[in-house]
Amino acid sequence: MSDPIRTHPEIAVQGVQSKRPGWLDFATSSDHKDVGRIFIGAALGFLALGVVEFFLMRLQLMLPDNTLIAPVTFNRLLSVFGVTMTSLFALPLAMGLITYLLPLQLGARSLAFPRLSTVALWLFLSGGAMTYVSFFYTPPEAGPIALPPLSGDLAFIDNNGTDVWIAAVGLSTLGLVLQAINVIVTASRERAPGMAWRRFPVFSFSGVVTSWLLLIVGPAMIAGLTMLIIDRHYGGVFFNAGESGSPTYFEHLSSIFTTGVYLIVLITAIGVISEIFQTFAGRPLANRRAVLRSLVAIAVLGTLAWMQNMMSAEIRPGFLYAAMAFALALIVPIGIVIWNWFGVLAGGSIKMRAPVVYAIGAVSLLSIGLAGEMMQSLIPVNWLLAGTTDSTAGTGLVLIGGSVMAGFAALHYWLPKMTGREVGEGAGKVVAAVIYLSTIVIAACFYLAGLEGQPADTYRFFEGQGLDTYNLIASIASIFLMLGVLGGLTNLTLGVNHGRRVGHDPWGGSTLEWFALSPPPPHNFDLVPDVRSSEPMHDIRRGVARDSAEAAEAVESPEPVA
Amino acid sequence: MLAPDPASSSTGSEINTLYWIALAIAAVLILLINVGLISMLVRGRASKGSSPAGTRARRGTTFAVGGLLAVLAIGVFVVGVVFTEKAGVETTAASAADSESQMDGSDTEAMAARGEKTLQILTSGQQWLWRYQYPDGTFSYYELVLPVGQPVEIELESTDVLHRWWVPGLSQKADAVPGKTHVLKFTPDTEGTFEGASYAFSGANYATMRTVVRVVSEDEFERWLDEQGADIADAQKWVQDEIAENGPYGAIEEAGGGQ
Repeated sequence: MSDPIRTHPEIAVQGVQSKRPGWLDFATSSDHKDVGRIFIGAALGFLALGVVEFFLMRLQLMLPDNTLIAPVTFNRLLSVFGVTMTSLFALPLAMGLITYLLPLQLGARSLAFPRLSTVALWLFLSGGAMTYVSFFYTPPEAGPIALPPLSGDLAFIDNNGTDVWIAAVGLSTLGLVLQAINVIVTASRERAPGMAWRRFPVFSFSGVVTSWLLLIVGPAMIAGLTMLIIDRHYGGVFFNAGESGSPTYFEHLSSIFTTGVYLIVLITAIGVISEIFQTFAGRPLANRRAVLRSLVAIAVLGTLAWMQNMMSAEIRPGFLYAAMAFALALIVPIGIVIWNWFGVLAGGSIKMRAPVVYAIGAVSLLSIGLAGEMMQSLIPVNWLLAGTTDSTAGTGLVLIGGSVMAGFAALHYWLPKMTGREVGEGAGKVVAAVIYLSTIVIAACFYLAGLEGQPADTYRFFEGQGLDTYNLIASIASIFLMLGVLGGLTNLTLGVNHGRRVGHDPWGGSTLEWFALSPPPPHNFDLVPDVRSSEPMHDIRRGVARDSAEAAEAVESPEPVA
Repeated sequence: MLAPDPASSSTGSEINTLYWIALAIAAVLILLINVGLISMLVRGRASKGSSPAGTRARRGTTFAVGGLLAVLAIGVFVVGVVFTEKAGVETTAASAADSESQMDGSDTEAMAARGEKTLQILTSGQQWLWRYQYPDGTFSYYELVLPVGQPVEIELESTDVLHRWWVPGLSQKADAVPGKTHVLKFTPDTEGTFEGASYAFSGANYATMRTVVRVVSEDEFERWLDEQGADIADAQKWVQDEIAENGPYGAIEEAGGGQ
């Protein structure tokens, strides 16, 4: 929101006219709030596309030996779906929320490099545009992660669909890495006086952790993609077997990236859920320091466990044991975070508003997905479950729990800050229930089908293998999932445009974004406050109450004005 | 319903046993978290209206909880390592030199004592078929026939893209990567027919890349091997005769081939 008339009445008096149309100002803005809103809006648009693609794939997999969608078409849907849900939805949504909120939560007036954020945004948008424009020529078809040799040699797929995939993932990852640098520098240099690291709001801290993580895993992917395109077109042998290259190298690089994406989804969700539980229970985390350290531990241990994705590859047992150890070590930090959430919920007088309902659904889905991941980190169980629809179920639970449910929770919680309007509560709770239940049903069906040996990512399954019922039920549930997500998006849009006005501080949160106006003016704060604790907004409220009480005493008025 | 396919080798039964242990731990964790969440919410709702209680006095519990979880993680890790060893992780990363040095060890003696010999099957993945070659040069597509009770070494290769070989209940999953040989060992202990598939995305017709392992008695295996060998010899002889008669292209046209 950068309407100068509304936020700066003095400009209206002087009658300054912008020479350019408003939308162009918005699209090229370097204000972190405009950039963040476009990031979030675009990510939600891609979510809508992704959930429709998922439904189409389920339509093909509804019946055994179905021929509704041709194999190549299915593989194209699958490949585009893979890019959409990770590089175009999950990461940009997290980055958009961080871009919008981190300066506000830290009491900063802008990001450290405002124009870099515009560049980052447009790199991401061009990656997204490239993916979907490819439907007019050749969409990618080499799978959700295009592994060489299938993707590295034109002998196997001789069209440019794989180049589209490489360019789209590369551009959007590059944009997100640039924005990660921006976030890290902002958090280090631009925060309000007194905002020590230990006083960071959990969400902002999770933003810094995920940015560091992206800074490490993003370039690994970009390097892999660059080598892949050299292999494809310029005679490279990085991933060619027998010429001192190996296809396994790319598997390592892409596994580092996909593990990073998974962890970014998880850590951002923890940040969002922690903020919401603290606000609606009206009390802080019992041990914030442990939670903040757990976020760092999750990022480090989780990334080191990347080989957990490749336990069927030819890797020496020692490395596999190390991957298993790192993956199982995640039990400790994740458990500490959940224990702290219990502490917040138990003692607080929790208000069951829509953000809380979404957040609880998110915790529940995450708990199931993470337990499944724990099972898969045991090497023999991984041999049993990996590559089947079991692993799809585990990843899907964390992606839907961490990105869709926690994402909707975040939007219900923070859209009043972005627009000054509330999102519909009743519809929100219904949508949360629909998404939760349909996800559970789909995941259960996938899990049971995977135990019967159904491979992941296949365009058909065969009759007489005990898979018919599971796939049919999963396909029916996918209709509800699609309707739920699309309904949730409609509800958010309605809230942005027609929601009830709720003022600047609707929830009584403890962090500094609620100190700004809703929507915040371009410079965020007229006065940057001194931070004296991890709950600066409560300090400010107490200070205002005390001052007005004193003022009231001074004029001997019985009623405090605040 | 929650059970994996029944095991038909010792590797398979170790995998299945650990699966049940892991499932039990996962189920307990899921239950603890979700029941805990609901009960905390109920407690939180009950104290509605009262002011939030003081919270900062419980730092020590974090360490207790963290320690408890660490014990759990270490326990699960140890169980994982034990079962991985029992299921035979030495099958991964066995280059030719490695497998020779392993053969020198106690394995050979044990096998010699039982009078057993390892059956080496050269298994090669290609879009979208599996090809099995037996020690005597006989080969088959799609169907692998194995004698019951004899140790098998699958030497996995790929002629084009990445594939992943797995027959539920019988073996581990293993990648077939072009330019490398990936060895995995198991001993089938049940006669029967087991369906497997490829579990790595390999392009357009990936879904149809399936396989069948038929485990039969020693005698039947020998009979099948001879039959298959004779069939292959017949086919080759037929092609040679055709070539002698009609030249190489005539033979191909006769067979309805040619691209």
